[in-house]
Amino acid sequence: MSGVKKRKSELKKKVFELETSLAKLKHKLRLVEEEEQRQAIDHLDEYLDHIDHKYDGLKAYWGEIAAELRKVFNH
Amino acid sequence: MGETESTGGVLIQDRAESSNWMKWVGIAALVYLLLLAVSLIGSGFKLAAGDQATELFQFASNPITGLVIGVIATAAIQSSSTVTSIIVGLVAGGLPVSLAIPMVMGANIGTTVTNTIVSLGHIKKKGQFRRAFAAATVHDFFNLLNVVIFLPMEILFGILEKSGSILASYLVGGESASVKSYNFIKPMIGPPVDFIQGHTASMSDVAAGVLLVALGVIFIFTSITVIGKLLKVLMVGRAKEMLRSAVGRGPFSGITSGAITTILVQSSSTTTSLIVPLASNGIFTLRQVYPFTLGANIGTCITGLLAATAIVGANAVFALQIALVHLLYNIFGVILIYGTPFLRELPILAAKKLAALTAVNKLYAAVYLFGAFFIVPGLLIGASRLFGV
Repeated sequence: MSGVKKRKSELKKKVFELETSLAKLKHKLRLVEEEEQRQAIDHLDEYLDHIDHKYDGLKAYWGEIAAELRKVFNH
Repeated sequence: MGETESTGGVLIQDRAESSNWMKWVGIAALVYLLLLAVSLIGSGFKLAAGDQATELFQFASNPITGLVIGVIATAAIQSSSTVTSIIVGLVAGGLPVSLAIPMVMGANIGTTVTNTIVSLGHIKKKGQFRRAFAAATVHDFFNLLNVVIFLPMEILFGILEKSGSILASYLVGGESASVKSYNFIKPMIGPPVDFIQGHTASMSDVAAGVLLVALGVIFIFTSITVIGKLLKVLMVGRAKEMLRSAVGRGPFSGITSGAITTILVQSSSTTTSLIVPLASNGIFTLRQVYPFTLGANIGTCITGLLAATAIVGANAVFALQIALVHLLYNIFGVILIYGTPFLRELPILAAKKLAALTAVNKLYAAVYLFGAFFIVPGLLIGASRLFGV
């Protein structure tokens, strides 16, 4: 019985260590993601440019749709 | 060599500062044009409609029709600021506030067409397109849910109209001299409005009124468009700082930064379109950009409030009332929908579901774009005319 209790205690300790380690890794990951987000925000000028040329995107979209419809009707 | 370089550097900086200064002067002039335009619409509508403003807009007495008018007008112009400023002018000219409220709600929906169009540019990469489309349409679904909740409540209880009225009366102060004595708008706007109106003396009231309204609409559209372009250049640095400071700070910070960024660039379409590329590459999750789009809804109300300052006289309180209704509608919507866990998730679920469908079959995006913003609204108007509702 004491052997089972000891094993149980060891496993609980290991789980606690792993959970602590996981929490630290998640925190590090969050910091890296936030830094990535800040770097993405630094490119805001390029995104503003995309907005000014939004109809180019619409043309690209229609091009894709036209290609798909041609595939369907030529099948 | 070093001296020439440092002199050259100072020269470039001086030119940049001078160029920025000129842009600010331009913005001030365009704000003046905006106020002038709103005043022209108010005067023109009053002239054309006379005492029959309510009868003239009888077709919009059905709130669904009013809503659809707001959606289609805003989707066509792609600027809720323009449409809400026009609505402020019309209310100043006699359009009942109760008829204008559904139009303002419709403007909220119509403005989301721009970020949906921007998302279509990511069509070539399936994963990017799915994320971009979801980021665009979460705004649509939030605004739709906001209307589904608040339009019936407004019809039944008039919550927004009454709240707006109380707040406007408090701010404008009715006939109190304290506000009148500080009114500097009338001497600035009055003379050019009178000048333009004077040149329509030979025309009938209706023709003159229509001309003034048309001029006002053109001026509003021009001023808001150019202000937006200038502010984009001038404010992009501040917008970046605002967004960077909001990273990792939770939804309230996201909402605030969305609102402030929108005020800085004077366009909710720009703000909500900015998050599309940020979300498309997976750097921001849909859940992270969602509060930002809600902030844009609030920030865009500033233009209507600015437009309302152009109105003086008896109808000033109504112009301010509709501008405040727009603000309250968006604030209440954010508090209720985002504040309620179940409601908060609905726009996210709907956006993800639609984006997954469009990633499989790209035609769904076109069906959604034309259906949601033009076809369904058009059918609703047609049906209401057909059934005489």
